[in-house]
Amino acid sequence: MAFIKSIEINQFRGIQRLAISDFSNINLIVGDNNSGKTTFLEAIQLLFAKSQLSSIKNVINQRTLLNPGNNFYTSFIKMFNMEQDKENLEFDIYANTYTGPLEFELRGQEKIIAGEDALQVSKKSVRNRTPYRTAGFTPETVREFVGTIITQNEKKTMEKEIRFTSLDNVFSGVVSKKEVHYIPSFGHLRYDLLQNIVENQEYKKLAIDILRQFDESIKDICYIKADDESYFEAIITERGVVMPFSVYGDGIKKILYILNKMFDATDSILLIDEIETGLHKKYYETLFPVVFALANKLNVQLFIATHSIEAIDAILKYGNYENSNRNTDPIKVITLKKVNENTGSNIVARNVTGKYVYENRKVFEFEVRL
Amino acid sequence: MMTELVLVEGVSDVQLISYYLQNVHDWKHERNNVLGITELDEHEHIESLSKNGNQLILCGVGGNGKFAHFVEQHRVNDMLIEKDISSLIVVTDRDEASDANVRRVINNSLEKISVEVGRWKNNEVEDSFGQVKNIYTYLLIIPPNERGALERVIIDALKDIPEETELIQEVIQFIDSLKGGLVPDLNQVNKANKATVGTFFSVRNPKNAMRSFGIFISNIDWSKSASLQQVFLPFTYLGEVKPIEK
Repeated sequence: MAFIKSIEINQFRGIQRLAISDFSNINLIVGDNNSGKTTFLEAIQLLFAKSQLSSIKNVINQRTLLNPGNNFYTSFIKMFNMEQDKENLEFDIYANTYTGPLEFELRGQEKIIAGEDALQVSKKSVRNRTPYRTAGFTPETVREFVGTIITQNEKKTMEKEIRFTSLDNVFSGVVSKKEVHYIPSFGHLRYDLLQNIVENQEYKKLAIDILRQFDESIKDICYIKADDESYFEAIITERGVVMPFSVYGDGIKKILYILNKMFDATDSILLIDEIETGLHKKYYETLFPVVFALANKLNVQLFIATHSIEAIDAILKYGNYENSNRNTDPIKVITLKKVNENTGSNIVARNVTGKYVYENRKVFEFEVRL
Repeated sequence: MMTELVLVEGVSDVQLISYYLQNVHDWKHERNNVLGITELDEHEHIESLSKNGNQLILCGVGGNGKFAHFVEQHRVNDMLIEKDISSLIVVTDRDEASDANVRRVINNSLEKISVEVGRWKNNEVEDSFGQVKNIYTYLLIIPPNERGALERVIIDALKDIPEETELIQEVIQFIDSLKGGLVPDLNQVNKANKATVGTFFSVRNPKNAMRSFGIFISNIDWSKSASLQQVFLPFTYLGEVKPIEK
């Protein structure tokens, strides 16, 4: 398992340079809006990306989950920090893990080319190019990116030349077992929440036990065949009533989504963006200990971004700091902060233990989110 | 906006300094403080004042010798690093100790900053984001140039105030007269000073004789005392740029 010990991010999105070390099993990523929390989670995903555009597209699409029509090229170019020299664009992410170094580097140049030339370069199929060729459809000029993706996974280095234009939007790649999993803040609004749960009786029982803490009437979760032969995800109540997920609130869906991803993330890394979204704060203290115990059992390293001070306090309770004198702290709290000074780094990080935050918050207003 | 932290020994120190700052330097009492610091036991006393958007948090640490305990319990070292605190003033009684001895005791409790006696010190420290910031410190030992404690400062201040001079001299003589036989304990300077201040305030405000020290001090116009203004000179710089010797 690639347990991340430290990371360095250079010129990626809004981050000029950021280095953080001493991660733990549970890492809370906190900070003001636009301080780089989601960018940080994306950087971790790119460390495990294959050297192909489809991997990058997968990461970009997570940010545009609710707005999938976004042009890939525009989103791609925005991955580079725009403060740098625009002639030569590059960003680099490097991490140390217990199994060796990981690196993702993307560099290249953007230029303007004629629309006709772009169609020669374009990844579009011949059929898709045709509308562009009809009168008035071929754009006069198009932006083109020519560059290289370099990845290093432990000792294996891969390098791939890439060339594509702003006309291109579809890239296919190989889907393989992922070493990093991501839960976007609104991911639970999609369905397919049971995939990894129902196939494993142990996981299923655990999921039902947890759900029953929120709704005692829940007896089972399963796929039900609809009249049109399709399957839908449903909850069976104690009375035998079949309730499609659509009738349940966000809380139940969010819990199932987290559990489903957790099971899938066995022996890997799970990134959870805005863990509080969709969950009422009264459930934090019930859900979080289960999530952390499960992460421990399944050997999952967690990176959790949150805005919620209630969520932070509930997560810190898991540390049991009043009664524990252990030397290592399972929780680290990483606060990202924008700074204005011209020190070569526009975003800085504070990485402190959960115990440090817990004890300070008891005696003064220690603001972890800033 | 500046946040200034002042640590003093007891409730009386907080009340005198708080009233002095309101009476002489136009600071206003505030209900809450930006640090979110509150008393952890009945011996501590915390007040907040504000002026021109700056805030001053005045903490009575619970009495003589409780400074280290207060710093540890309130995690003052973490607070200084994590919060946006411009300065720390420590006000402590001299009693029988030398400047060096008092300074050593205070500095033993402080981690990334230190204090100097009778002058502002600029401490350049790194916060936990690795960013450099400045915290100005000042150690005020009272009385500055003689043995004793806050009561000595109050007595000297009362001698300066024309309306109070005669009464304080009378009370001093009265306390002296008791030292020989009736109350031998008064031969100890600190106890004699406490008795002098207590007696003075009781006689000065007989109606409030059983009330708190805070009521007594609010009936005195401290702005007329040149000696108190001299002792409390560092407070002039609260909420202002601190004078640092090059």
